[in-house]
Amino acid sequence: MLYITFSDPEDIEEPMVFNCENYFRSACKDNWFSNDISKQIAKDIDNTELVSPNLAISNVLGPINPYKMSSGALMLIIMANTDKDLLYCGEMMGDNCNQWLIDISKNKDIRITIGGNKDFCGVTGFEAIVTNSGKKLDSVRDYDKAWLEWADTWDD
Amino acid sequence: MVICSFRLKFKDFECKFDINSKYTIVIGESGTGKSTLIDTADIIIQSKKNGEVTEGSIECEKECIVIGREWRSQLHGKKDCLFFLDEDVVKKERNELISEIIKSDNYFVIIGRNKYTSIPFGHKDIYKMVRKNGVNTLERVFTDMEKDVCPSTVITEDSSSGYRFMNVYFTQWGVKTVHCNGKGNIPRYIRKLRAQGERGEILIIADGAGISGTIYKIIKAMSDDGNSKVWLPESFEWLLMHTPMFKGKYDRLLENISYESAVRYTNAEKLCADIITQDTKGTPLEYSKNSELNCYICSCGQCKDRCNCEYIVNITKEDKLGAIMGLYPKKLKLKHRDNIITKDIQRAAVADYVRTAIDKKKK
Repeated sequence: MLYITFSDPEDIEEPMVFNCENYFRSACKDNWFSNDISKQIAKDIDNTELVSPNLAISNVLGPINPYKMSSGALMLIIMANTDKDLLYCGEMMGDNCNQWLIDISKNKDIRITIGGNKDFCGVTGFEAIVTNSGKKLDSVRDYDKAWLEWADTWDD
Repeated sequence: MVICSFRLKFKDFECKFDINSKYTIVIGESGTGKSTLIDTADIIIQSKKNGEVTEGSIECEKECIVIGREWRSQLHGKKDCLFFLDEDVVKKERNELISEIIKSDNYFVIIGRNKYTSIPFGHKDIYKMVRKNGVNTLERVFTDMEKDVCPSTVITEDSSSGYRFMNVYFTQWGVKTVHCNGKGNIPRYIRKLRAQGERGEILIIADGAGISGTIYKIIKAMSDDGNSKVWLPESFEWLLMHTPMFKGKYDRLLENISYESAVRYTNAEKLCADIITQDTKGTPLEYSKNSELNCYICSCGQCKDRCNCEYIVNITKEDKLGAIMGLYPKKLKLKHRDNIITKDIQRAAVADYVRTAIDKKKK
């Protein structure tokens, strides 16, 4: 299940995965680079081929260290591979990560914060719980309404 | 007029764009090269600072600095520099950093999907990174598309002079105008109007300059509503400055509004408000946020002996209102592009109106 907390990251005391590269460097294991889901995420989000723990081939940059993949790709790879109960800063993922996010959360609990615009439009199988209210969301439309309720509280 | 151009080359990665205002907000999908821009810029800048050879290059008229965790010392005493901020650098102290950025006399490229409602950026300052012919560049998120709108209710963001003007303008077409005590309340007012039985199209008018991340919730509310559109002129004062009453006095300023406001002010809204308030003081066109706007919304007659304005003599109230709105008078046909009406359309329409007025006079 996907658990969404609507909040700016700086307002949350609990340590979270914020700078993906830093966390990735501290936590990744060799087998994170060899499984199909990590390879698919790297290909789909970054157009990059994940070769080994020390090598990824970017379509644009050529050979790079896998740590240098985008924050969105790194965060999804962490989510897909770790067993730890972590809180993730959802702002670090672009909307092209959203289908992956929903798919990964079908098999495990994923907790994210959303502190800005995030659009799940076009995502299938959306299901989430808003931790601020405890409300269950069964569709993207439910999410939009919950997001707008939260946006009403912005100091703008 | 652009503030500066930026071009970076690092191996096969090339990125170039222009800086048009104080804030350049870069959002968008993952994997498009946003963080690569920051990483490679940092490598080049640090190498040069350390006297090392690098094959990477940055071409920019401004000193470029990548903000790190030592942001306080980096910003201290700096002026007229181009700073780059990636979203994942500062978490705990983000509010303090943003306060310093707002006070700072520099230019900022901010990569991040946060709402940043305290930063007074405009909707035209929001970009996404795209790759064209092997080069990464920035493209505006809110782009232009002409389309007619025909509202039955108009929402303005506050109750000041802009609302009073819009109320007079739209009343002549039988369109109701309401104000919502701040741009942040716009989504709530859309829902409120629907709950009160409004079924027609709702047109939202808000200041595009300084709208900040509120634009995201307005767009989401419109998408949820399904029958509303938004029009974002820079500000009401910006609209007024285009009018024939000022006889082209502000044309040059308006042409370079992003540049002028970035260099002299925090945003175009404040720049236009201060200038028009100061310039019209003691004249029939006297303007303030709370003024009655008489000369702008009444037919000529009362003031013609005093204000020596060749274009507005004998112009009716309806024509004046139309000129200010940048539309052909007596024709409620607002144009918008992807829900955003652009200043170019506005300006073109005003210019056309002035030509018509001059032609009439010649005859």
